[in-house]
Amino acid sequence: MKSTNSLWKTNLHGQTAPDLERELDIYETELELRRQGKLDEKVFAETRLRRGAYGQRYDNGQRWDGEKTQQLAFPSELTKGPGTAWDAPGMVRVKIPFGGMNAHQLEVMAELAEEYSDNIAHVTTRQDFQLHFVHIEDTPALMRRLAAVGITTREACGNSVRNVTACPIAGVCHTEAFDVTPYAHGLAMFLLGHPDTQDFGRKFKIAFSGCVDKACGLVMLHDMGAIAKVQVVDGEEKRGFALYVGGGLGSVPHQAKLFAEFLPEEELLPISQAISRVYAKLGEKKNRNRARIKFLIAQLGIDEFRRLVLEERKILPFDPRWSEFLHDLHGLDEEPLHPAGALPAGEFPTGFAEWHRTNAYAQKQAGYATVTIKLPLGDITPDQLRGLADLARSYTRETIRLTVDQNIVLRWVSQADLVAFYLGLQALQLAQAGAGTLIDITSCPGTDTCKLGISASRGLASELSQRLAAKAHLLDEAIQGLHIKVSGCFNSCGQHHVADLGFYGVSRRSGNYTVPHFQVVLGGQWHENAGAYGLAIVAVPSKNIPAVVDRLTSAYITEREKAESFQAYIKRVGKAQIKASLEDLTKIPAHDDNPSFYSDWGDTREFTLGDIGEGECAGEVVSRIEFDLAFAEREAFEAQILLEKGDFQLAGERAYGAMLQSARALVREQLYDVPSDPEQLVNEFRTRYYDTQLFWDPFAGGKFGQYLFHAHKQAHLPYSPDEAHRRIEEAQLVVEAAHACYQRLSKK
Amino acid sequence: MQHFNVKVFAVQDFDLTPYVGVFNGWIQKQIAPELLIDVADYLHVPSGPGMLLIGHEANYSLDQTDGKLGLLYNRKAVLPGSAPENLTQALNSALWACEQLSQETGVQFDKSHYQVLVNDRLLAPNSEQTFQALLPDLQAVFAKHFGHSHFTIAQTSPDVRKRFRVDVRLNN
Ligand code: SF4
Repeated sequence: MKSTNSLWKTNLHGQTAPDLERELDIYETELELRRQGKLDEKVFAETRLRRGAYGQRYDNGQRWDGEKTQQLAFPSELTKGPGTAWDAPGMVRVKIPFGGMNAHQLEVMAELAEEYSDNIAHVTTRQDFQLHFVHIEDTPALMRRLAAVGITTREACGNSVRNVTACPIAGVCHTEAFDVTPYAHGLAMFLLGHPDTQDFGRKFKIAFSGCVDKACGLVMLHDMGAIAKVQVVDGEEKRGFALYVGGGLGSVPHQAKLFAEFLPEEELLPISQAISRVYAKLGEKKNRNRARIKFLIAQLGIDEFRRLVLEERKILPFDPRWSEFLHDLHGLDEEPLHPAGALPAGEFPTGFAEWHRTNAYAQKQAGYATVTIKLPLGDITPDQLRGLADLARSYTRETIRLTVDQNIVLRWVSQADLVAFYLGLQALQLAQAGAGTLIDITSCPGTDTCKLGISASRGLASELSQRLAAKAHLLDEAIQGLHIKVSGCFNSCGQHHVADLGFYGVSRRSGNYTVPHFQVVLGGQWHENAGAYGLAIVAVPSKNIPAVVDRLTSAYITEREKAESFQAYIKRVGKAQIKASLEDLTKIPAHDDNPSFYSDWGDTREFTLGDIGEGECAGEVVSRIEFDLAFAEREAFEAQILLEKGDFQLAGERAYGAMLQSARALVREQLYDVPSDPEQLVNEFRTRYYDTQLFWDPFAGGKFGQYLFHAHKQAHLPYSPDEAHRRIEEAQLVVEAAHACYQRLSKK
Repeated sequence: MQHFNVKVFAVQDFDLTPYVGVFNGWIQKQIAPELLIDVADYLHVPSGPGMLLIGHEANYSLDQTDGKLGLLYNRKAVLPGSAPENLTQALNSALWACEQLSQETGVQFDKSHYQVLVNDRLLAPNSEQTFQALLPDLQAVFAKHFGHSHFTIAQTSPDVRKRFRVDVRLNN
C-alpha cells in the first residue's frame, strides 16, 4: 500500500545483518510469487506466519454489521491463505526475546505503528509487540525497518519456536538464583531458524524464570520452561536449570512435567534441540487440536519422553554453539547511567507515593529501582514510545523490557531520580499507579481483532479497569494484589487459567438471540510460576461480569479468615457455594427489557458468532516437504530474476541450488538428518530415489535426475549466459519432477 | 507526494463513546468512497488515536493526539494525482466526514484550523527542506480552500523522529 515500500531495501542496505537481509529478500520473493499466483496459498500462509504476519478478524471478507453479514468488496481477488483476502488488514507480531529493547528500537516501533498500523503498538502477554491493521504488501518494508535495528519477526507465529520469554526483572531480582537473560537470549538465537524446529505440528513456547516461588516466568504453562538453579557439584557451585516440559494453556491446560531436576547449563541447548527433534518426529501433525507437545508427553508419559530425548541427545551431531554462548554470559549485563541514590526526603508530587508503592521495585542493587510503566490493555502510542525512549536515555542505559503483564519496565533508575522520572512519565500520561494490582488487567485481543474471538475481552477489561481505577483508593488491601485476566475464547491467550479472577468468552442462546457471556474461572494461581490452573464455574452474561467482580471481591473481604489467600478462600468456601452466590447474575433479561445484554462491551452491534473465522494460531499444517519444495521453487524463480539482471554466475548457482533443495526435500522424507554437503546429498538422492526409480518420470524416465547429476558435476565451472539459462530451465523441471514424485509417493 | 493526512479540530471536546455506533453505521451503509471495514476503539489510551474507522484505502478517526480532538483522514492507498491534487483529496475527504458527523450528531468542527501531515518518512522527513518543498503546494491548496491567503502555515515540531506535520491556521 505504501508508495515507498520498494525503496526501503536500498535505503537500509548495509544497516542490516546479512542473514536477516537475505531472509527478507526470500520473503519478498515469496510474496511476489504469491501475487503472481505461482505459490500455493496454503504454503504462502505458513510462510508469512513464520515471519509473524498473521491473520486478523474479517479477513475472510465478511463482517456482521449489526443487520446483515456484509461481503467486504476488497479490490483484489487474490488470497494470502485459504479463505483469507489479500487486501484484508492483518496483524504483525514482533518477537522481542526476553522482552529486552533499547531506545532506538522503541522509536522504530513508533514509526511503524504510525506508518503501517493504526497509531498503536500493543504489548502482548508473551513479551511481543503487535501491530494491527497492516496490509500484507507493507510487511516486507516494515520487517526491513525492524531488521535494521536488530529485530526479527521470524517465527513469531506459525508452527515454530515462538518468542522466548523471561522474567522482566531478571538480573535485578532479589530471589533469583542467577540472571537468566543470557540463557534466554542464547537459546532463542540457537533455535531461531534451526533445521530441527522447522517441522513442528504446532507452536512451541519457551520461558525462563530466575526462581521457583515468584510468578514472573510462568514456566509451568509453557511447552518448555527452565527455572534457574545453582547446585554444588564436586564441591563447586554449578549453574543449571530445573527443566519442565509439556505445560500449556489453551482449551485443555496442562501443568508442565519435570524433565530434569538439574540440567547443567552446558546441556541447555543440546537438550532443547533433542526435545525439538523428538517433537518434530513424533508429534501429531494432522489433528492440530492435539498437536502441542503436551499431548505427545501425555501420550508417551514423561519417563518415556525423557528416554527418547536422551537417546536423541546421544546421536546429535556436535554443534560448537552449544557452549559458545557460555563464554559470553556477561555480554548482556546492564550498567546504570546514574549513581545509586536514595529517594529524597520532603514533599512528593500528587500521586507519587501510590505510584512508588505499586510501580517501583527496589532492585537487589541498592539504590536502584525497576519501574513499571502500566499500559492500558497493553497499548501505547507512538508519541509515548518516543517519550519513553527519551526517558530511557536520560535516566538509564536504555534498559527496557516488555512484560507478560502487557506493561513495560525500565530498570536501573536511581532511587534519587524517581521523582523526576515520575514527572516525566506524567507528562507522557504514563504514570498510572497500580501495576500488578487488581486494576492492572490482562486481556487478549478477543473480538477486536482475533479471528477466533467469541466475546469482547478487551471491551470487558477496559470496562473493569475503568470501574476499578475509579475506586482504586477505596479498594481493600486484601484484594489489591489479585489478578484479573480475560480471554476472548477458551484458547486462553489472556492466561485466564492462572488468574485469581479469570474470564473467557462463550455465548448462550436466549430465544432467537445469541448473548455474549464469560465463563468465570476460579482457583488459578499466578505465583510459583503459574503453579495451579483454575476451573470454570459458571457462565455469566458479559454485562454482568463487573457485578461478578464486585460480589466475589466483597465476599472475600468480609468472609476471609486471617491472612487467607484468595485461592484458599475459594477452596474453603467451595465452588458450589460460590456458584450459587452468582446464580442471579446468570439470568438474561428479555431483549425488550434490556437490549444492552445482547451487545458486547464496546460494541453497538447485536452480538453474533457469525464473525468467527478460521484460526491461524497454529497455521495450516504444511508438511515439511511441501515447504521445502516451495523453497526450491522460490530459488528457481530468484535465478530467473538474477538472469534478467545479467548476473549469470549467481543465476546458475541459484538454479543449481534449487535442484539440490528439491533433492534435499525428498531425501529428508527418508533420512531425518539429511546431509548438507552437496556431494553426500546427491549420493543419498541417487541411492534412494534414482537407483530405485522412485524419482523416475512415467514418460521421461530418469532424465530429470540426470539434470541434477550433470549440474552437480559442473557446479565448480563458471556459467555463461546460455548455460545459466539452460540450468534454470532444468532446475524448473527438477522441481516439478520432485513435486510429481512426492504426489506419486503420497498416493501410494 | 502521497499519504496525506488532514485533521480538522473539533470546536469543543465531546464524548467519543457513542461513535463506535456512528462509525458502525457508516460501515453498514458503506457511505464513504473508500471500502469501510471495521471500528477500532482506543478511548482507553490518553491522547491516543481515539475512535478509528478502518478503511481499505483510508482511515477516518476521531483522533485525540496531543490531547486535541479532531477528525483525521489518513490516506493509505496510493493516488494517481500530483501533490496538490492528493492533498486536496485528503482535505475534501476530511471535510466530508466532518459534515457527515455534524449532520448525524450535531458536533462542530473548526474550519479555520487544520493539521496536515505526510504519513511516510521516506517521502517527507520532518525537516526544513521538506517544509520548503511542500510549502507552495500547501499554500496553493489552502488559498483555494479559504478563498484568500490570510493564513499561516507552520511546522508543528522540529523533532526529526516525528512525521512531517504542519498547522494551517486562518489569521485573526
Ligand atoms: S484467547 Fe481466543 S480470542 Fe483471545 S487471542 Fe486467543 S484465540 Fe483469540
